[in-house]
Amino acid sequence: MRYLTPPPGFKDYLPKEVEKIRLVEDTIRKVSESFGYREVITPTLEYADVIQLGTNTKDDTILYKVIDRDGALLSIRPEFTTSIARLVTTRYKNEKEPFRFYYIGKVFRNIQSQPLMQKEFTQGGAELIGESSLFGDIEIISLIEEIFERLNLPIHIEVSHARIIPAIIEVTSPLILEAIKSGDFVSIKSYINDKNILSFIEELPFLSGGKEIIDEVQGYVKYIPGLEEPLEQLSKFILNLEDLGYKRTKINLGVIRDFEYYTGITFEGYIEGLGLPVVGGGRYDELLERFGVSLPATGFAIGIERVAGRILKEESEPDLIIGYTLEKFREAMNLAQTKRKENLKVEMILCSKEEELNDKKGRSKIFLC
Amino acid sequence: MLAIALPSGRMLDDCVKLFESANIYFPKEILESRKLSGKSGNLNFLVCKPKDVPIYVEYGTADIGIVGKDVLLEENPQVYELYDLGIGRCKIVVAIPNEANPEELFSKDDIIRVATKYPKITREFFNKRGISIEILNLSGSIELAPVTGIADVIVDIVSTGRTLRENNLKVWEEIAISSARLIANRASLHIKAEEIKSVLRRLKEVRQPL
Repeated sequence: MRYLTPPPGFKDYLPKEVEKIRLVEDTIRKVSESFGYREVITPTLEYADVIQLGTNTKDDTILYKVIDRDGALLSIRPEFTTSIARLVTTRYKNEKEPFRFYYIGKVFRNIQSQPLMQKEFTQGGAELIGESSLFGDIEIISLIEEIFERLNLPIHIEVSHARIIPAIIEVTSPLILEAIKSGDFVSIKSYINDKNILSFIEELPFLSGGKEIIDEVQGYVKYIPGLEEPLEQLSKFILNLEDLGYKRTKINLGVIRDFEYYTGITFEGYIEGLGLPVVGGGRYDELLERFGVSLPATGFAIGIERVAGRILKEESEPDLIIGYTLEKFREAMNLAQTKRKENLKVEMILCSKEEELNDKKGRSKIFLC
Repeated sequence: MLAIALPSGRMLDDCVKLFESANIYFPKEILESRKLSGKSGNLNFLVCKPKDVPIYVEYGTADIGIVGKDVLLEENPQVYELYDLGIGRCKIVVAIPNEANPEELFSKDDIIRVATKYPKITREFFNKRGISIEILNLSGSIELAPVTGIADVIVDIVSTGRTLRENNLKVWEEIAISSARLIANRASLHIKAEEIKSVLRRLKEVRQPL
């Protein structure tokens, strides 16, 4: 035994924090179900090959791996989307799409842990599989807005498109990918000669707003032809959302998602005062094909502990404390059971005199002696 | 209000000059006292160790920051790197003793010992070259290491090269060029885009040509 504390990146959550976490989870659950999504539970461990096939990342050092008794290499899930893609392509092969599933569970990433960047954390999210139209993306955004509205947390959802970076690469160099992914808008410049393309990239992190942003960058399409389609989709998307009255979402072409599997509309959500995104997601039309069934899909995941940390809520306490002496146990127990049936939270404390029941929280107390 | 983290030490003077030429008032009390933060207009300046600048920015305690590319390469923080400010230019190099012959040095049977405060950059560089090394992680005065024999070579930043010369060292290879970068927190860049853009615009206007 080395220490009595959890290892770095893992932690204990006390009742006060757990209540907030459960509140966020319950909200995700209720809202997702109100949109017709049903909950699935996938295993914590998957074949490492499956995870690799889904996330397709060169850097697998973030994965926790274990060897099964038959020698197979297993990996603890770093996210849910891959598992759900596997589940749908194997268990729902012969059923008619669309499929609407949501999940809530722990994921594990072997990263350098920091406050707000735990190795173990809870994700809650939903996947809409088999719906290729823009209405699918709109449904996902409206679902997220509804969750944060109910939690009374103002969310800023920033929407971009996964095809924008490939469009730039097509007219420049594949070398810019690593730089863009790490948010480095400086070294990108050394790979680009065309000053029009350069000025687009310099603007990229600041291209945010409503439909007007799309009009503003329309001029770049003649230098970066691949922009045309994503811009058209974003334009339709944002007009629809504005029309429906969803106000927390805007376009931001500077948003770059880490996961490689995105193919269309992508997004991140921020809460003021928190430097990291609390929700992310997007369209991944080619992921399920890797598992043998070609189906379009879109979805999101919320970092539940990060959101929970922003919720203001008093810790809840038992409604009633019953103090009792040894002789009064039966009487106290009967009283407690009656009150519990009335939906009160009742705590029983064995004590010898009434003073021992004094606590500072001012809860209702009954003393039987 | 925009919080901006600046590196203490050598680069701070350059940063202050940069702000002054951009007509952004830098709170004098930071320079004249031991205060580590001060407000000016809608900017709140925080001064911390260069290595800590990306940490303040990553958490959003500072919305933006100024830090050397060397630190970014070493720490690999999740921040947006927006602009090369052109100040604090230097090179990250592998330096060896003047009398050493690199071919002999790197082909000898013993594992080379490298002193540095950039373990990650060092590890990556030598891995790529297929040279086995042992890293001695020091926090300053790296040039002392080969002189005393505690290490064979060093990886460090050089600007004029004077310290190398005076300690009987020469540059063997350049690993990267570094200069000060304006970095931004991911959320701040989205939520406070206008304010950040305005600071960036003013700094761009006064940037010295390369």
